[in-house]
Amino acid sequence: MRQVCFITFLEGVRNRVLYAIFVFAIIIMFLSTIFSQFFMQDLGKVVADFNLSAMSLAGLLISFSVSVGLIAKDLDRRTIYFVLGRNISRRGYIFGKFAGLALLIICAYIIIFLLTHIPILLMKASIPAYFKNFSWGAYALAAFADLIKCIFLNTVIIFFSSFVTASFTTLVFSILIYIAGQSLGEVLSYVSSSETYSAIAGFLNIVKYIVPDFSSLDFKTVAANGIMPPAGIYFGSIAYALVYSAVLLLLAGIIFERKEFP
Amino acid sequence: MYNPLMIKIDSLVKRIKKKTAVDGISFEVKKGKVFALLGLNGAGKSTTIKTILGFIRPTSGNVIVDSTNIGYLPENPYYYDYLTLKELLAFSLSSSGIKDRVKERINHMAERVGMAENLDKQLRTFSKGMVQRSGIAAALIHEPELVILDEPMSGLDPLGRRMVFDLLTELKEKGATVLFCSHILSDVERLCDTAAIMNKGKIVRMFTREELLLASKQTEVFFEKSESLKEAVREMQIAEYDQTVGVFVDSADIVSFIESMKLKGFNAVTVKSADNALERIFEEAVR
Repeated sequence: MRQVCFITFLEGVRNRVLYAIFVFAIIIMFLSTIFSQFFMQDLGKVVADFNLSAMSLAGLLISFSVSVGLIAKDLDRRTIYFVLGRNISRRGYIFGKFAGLALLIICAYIIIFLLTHIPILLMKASIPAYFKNFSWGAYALAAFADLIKCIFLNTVIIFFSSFVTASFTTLVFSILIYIAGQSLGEVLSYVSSSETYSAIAGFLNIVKYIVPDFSSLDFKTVAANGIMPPAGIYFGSIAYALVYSAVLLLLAGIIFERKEFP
Repeated sequence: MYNPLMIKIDSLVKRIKKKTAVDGISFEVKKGKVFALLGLNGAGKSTTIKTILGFIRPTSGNVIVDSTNIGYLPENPYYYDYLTLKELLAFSLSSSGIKDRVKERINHMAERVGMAENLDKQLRTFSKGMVQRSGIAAALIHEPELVILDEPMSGLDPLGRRMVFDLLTELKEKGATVLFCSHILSDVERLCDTAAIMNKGKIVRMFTREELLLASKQTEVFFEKSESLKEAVREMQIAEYDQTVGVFVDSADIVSFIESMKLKGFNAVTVKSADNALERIFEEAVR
């Protein structure tokens, strides 16, 4: 498992797409210093929101481009023969892949998180009056929750990769599940407020227990307002994501053990 | 208890999407022997290998492999683009639990496959032949007990093929068991102890090195094609051509055979040494 983790991490780190994503994230971060000035009263809030969003977007792009490529392409291009031809169990392969991806994402998040300090500190130093409510603690907690969300998304990608053969199909499934998981909460609250959609609301109430709820890990808005998230909700969401991820990984391991590679 | 068999395949059937890729084959590979699987494209060789390695499950039948220390080279191997050859070989060693003399082993194997100067280059920069050489190095670096090579000569230049031939000869001398698929019949002829020819999922012919050598000592005597001739040599091995029929005779008996046929009224048109014995056996088997 350790060997798979290591080569996955190396492959990810050397992927040029990763650097393009970093550059893109940095551009967004620094654009925040320009765009935030259109919202003077909310300048601190907009800067924080922009930078957290840049981090989140970078995480998504890494997941959908680098992660999907690292797993599904093993199957697409039959690199899997080389790995499974060694003394590596199929479960070891799945867990190793996950560990490698998680390590890659953690490193990417740490770097982007540190980089986001630059525009925030710059703006805070130049216009401190608008950063009275800004809280580094809330900002860090929101960034950490986003990191967990990204790792959670990667377990979804691994889960799909365990039974889908084409990388493009894995990509489409993962994007659809992400969109559903990110917007389900909002859709549910909207349809629940109207009696017209009571049947849909009932259906969505069942779906919400199946589809991973990525929106529960979104603390960007509270962080932008400098508010610490309630501990119960915050740690509950983190625990939910970790348990769900563990279940998905176990299922992926079981499915992968039964999979054939003709 | 010592098991003399490395691989035992018994009535193996594999169906993939309604198509029978392997149709009830059985064979054994003894420890320390070289076994070759021959056949046209789509004959079922790679499917057999994938079943041995556990990549696919048999539809029915049994596959027993008496080792977990296996070196495998896939057909048209594809490795991790951004890894260097050194990292690929280090991965091969560490995944086999080998931690000692890592650097020395990597350098030695890279030298053996003629890739010493490319150790620090990423695999995505390699040509097909270089990837094949890297794959061979990755399959053999951990000194496996069982080596399974799917078309090891594929994509290699004559020097590369010579290198693979030498490596396989060395493995054979060291007592490793080798199972390989190849289209290069001359290499199979020189290397294997036993060979099986597969056609449409079945083993249609199996022969040992001794049988092959015996076949090599034969001479093909050609006669004009006729039904009476075929009747006269019906007990013998023949090959039919457009105008002629070739009859295979032991080289030592050639003169007496031609004389006896002359007395029966069949004059030999020409004779040809059967030095391409395996090619002949192969063509007959897959016809």
